[in-house]
Amino acid sequence: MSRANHPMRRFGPVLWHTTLTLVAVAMVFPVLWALLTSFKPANDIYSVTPFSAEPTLDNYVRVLADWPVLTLLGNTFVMAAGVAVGQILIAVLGAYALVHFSQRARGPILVLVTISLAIPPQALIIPQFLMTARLGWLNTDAGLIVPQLGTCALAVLLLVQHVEAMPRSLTNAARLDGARPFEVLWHIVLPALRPAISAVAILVFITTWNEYLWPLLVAPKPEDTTVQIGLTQFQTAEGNDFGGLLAAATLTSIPIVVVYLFASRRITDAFLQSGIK
Amino acid sequence: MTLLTGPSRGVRQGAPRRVSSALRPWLYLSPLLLALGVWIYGPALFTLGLSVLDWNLTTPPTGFVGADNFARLFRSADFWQALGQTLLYAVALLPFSTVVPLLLAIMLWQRPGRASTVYRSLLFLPVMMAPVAVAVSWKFMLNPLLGLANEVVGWFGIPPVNWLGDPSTALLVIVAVTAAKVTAFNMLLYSAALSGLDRRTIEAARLEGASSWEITRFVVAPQLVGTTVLLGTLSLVLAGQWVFTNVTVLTQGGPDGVTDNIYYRIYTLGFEFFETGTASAAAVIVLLVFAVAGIGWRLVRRSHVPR
Amino acid sequence: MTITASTTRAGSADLRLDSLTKSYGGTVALDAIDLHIPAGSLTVVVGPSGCGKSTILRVLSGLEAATSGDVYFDDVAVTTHAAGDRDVAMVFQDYALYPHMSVEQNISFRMRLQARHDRRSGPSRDKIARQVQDVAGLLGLDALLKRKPAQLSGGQRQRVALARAIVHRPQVLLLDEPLSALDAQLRAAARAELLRLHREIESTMVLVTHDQHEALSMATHLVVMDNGRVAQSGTAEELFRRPGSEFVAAFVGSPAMNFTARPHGRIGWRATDARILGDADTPGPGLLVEGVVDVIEFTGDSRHVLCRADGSTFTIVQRDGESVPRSGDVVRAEIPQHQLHHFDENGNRTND
Repeated sequence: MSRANHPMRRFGPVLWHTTLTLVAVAMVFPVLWALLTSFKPANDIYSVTPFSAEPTLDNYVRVLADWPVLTLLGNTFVMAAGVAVGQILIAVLGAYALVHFSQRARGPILVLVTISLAIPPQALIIPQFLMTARLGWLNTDAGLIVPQLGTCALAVLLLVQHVEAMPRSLTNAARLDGARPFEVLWHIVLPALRPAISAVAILVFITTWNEYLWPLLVAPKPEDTTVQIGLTQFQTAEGNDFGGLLAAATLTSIPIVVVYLFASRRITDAFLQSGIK
Repeated sequence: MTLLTGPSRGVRQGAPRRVSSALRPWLYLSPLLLALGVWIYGPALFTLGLSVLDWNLTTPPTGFVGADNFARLFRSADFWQALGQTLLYAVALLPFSTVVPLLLAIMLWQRPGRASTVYRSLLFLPVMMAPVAVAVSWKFMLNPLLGLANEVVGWFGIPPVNWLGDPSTALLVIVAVTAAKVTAFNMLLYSAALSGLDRRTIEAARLEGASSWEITRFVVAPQLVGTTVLLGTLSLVLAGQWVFTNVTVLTQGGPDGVTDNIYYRIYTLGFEFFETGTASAAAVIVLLVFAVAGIGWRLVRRSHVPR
Repeated sequence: MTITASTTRAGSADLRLDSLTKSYGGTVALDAIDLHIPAGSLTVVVGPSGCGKSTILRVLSGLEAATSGDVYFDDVAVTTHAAGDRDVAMVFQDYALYPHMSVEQNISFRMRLQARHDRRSGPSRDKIARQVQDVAGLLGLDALLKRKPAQLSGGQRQRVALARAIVHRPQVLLLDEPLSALDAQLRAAARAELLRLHREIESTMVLVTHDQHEALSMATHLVVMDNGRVAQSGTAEELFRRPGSEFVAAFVGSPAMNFTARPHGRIGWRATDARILGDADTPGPGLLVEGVVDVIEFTGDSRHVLCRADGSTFTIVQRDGESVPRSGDVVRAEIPQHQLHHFDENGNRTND
């Protein structure tokens, strides 16, 4: 619908643009300021001007030298990807079974899945931590990934919705064609789920990347931890080196933000789908 | 089955593949059930158990202590303060979960186009940004001596504020920092709800001579009530969790416990003081509240939905 | 769609349902049905919505298991056989073409699966390619083999669905409302093509429709269903000329049969069997009906004269050439004795 025909136009254009710009700036500001400050030399970092007279990469050099940035980014990537892949596997198999195998347990299982969404993580971290420690998984990828597979409820519910939305005649046709249950899943259901799976993957990846509490507990060792924790450790260690700290913060944020700016539509759609549950 | 043509063709003889068909669904469900059982429900039961045991993490448990942990919890002033703060957070974040994102979503919806898309992408950014990075950045800006915040308020003649160290401002800061992400996410949900509206109802109202304000009030708003109730409820219930990271990085519950809440309390009790029993007791209380709220929600929905 | 001669022929199976019941929770969809579908026939199962006709297809195909009773293919009990084990093919109402596969891949899917399941004696890649080519030629799909279903028209999709079903020459071919998705004009042509297909492929075809006209014109064997039971089965002619119940009488034939009340039951008569009497004519033996003309529908080669009489209505079909009554006229018509159908209070036929 073109602007001229839009049924509601409460705000004049000036007010509209001004308000939205202000809010947008407010939203973006913390990371933006961190970015700008990270290029300022040490004596200048508290200045109010956005750009320094002598922009420098010193902060970054220092951070990259003192801080195992790449290792941390790597650890975080492995964790986020691992959890995303793991949850998708769980969710695809589970959703297929819940929708296509008629069984009486379907209702109760869905209830269990839904309820698990409502359980606050803080109520579970103590036993989760103890189990992870018992398994010898502290400071390992396994310890970061496997326990976080328990929060697969959202992935499961979303995929169940999508699998249910597939016309039954398609899977019936495949069954008639002699496809065994796994073949039906692989050849017919999975291709149809591709967009849903990528949306869920994006969602889980980003959420896990930003996860703070679990990595804090389970991987406190500086070389084995994630960027989020690493950043707080940097803060504790280098206390006053805010230039470096903000450079580090920028490095932490940038990967996802960059990906987002390229694929914002895809990503917002992914989050959108999770809300419509 | 072979593809011979001719009269010898027929149905495949012999027992069909029904042997494992009873087992098969469970095979597919096992990863899900394992994940939930081992990492969610198991720990939940464990927490319940821990709340009635005397155990710190280092030595084996020394025995059943019944409600002692709960008693200790209820006796500590910290607990009640944390509980109260949890409510404060819930109330403080409520407008940022409902009113603010709604207004933003409506504004974006009114003028669809390239500008709108750009704004929406920017406004959604806080959801992407690493919470620790954001918190750290705020810490920098809120530095009482040299930080940007105090510089700016100085322009208005206001003396410098110890944002994070002053009990009267610390909570507000946490709320403000968390509000951005909450607003961003909920704005998207409202946008979805708005795009699902039937534009014809608005056109019909226009034809009947309704003003823009009347349309918003009588046509659009009522259709958004469901979403608002949902988001409001979620906000009240989850506010304490949403602020967790910011509290941990910026204030550690202080000063004087002013930014503490029940979730942070569970964390500190468990992992700083190693009072697992008390921590678990607090966790059990939270679970109970959730359970009651959940059942209440269910009852309310059942009575409202006409069948 | 044109069907050209093929070279391979295959067998067909004799189908039998024995005391078959299918219920879903509390509802009984099929109530202890005994049904025989002759091998090689084109059997049409017809009836109002909810009569159970689609359920019969599902049970025959194996997509759903019977609650009790048995299904026999050529005297072999296939009741517990899975859908893929029965040598049954089906054309679904929405065609159910695999959207991410090309036409060729859709058609060859079953055989590719077989090749994979049975690496030694399953069909070879050459064989698969050949049979796909054959059936594509048969149904005029050669030019479309590489396309995806989304790029095809409704009629083309239907042909692909058919091709997929018959490529391996199944013994039983099930069709679920195959013509309902087509426009009226395409439907007549498609009907003829299905009949030609039946001649070509020799499979036992079981077709489900709600359209009684389609049913009458296509069936070599007709089954009318009502509420989970078989109301009557036989040839189309049998069901038309000697309907065994009021239900079948009213369902089969268009316009629907007219009924006149009698002390113990009703008499049914067809609109086409009635002859309007002129003022001078004397009625012969048979039924005499009288009424006031309400509406006249012109159908091209005839007129449907709808009349009212004592609170009920009846329709007479009048051919061209006879004098045209007008709305409001009183009209008398007679139906010869031998064209009357007598029914008792329970709706069952009483005359021969």
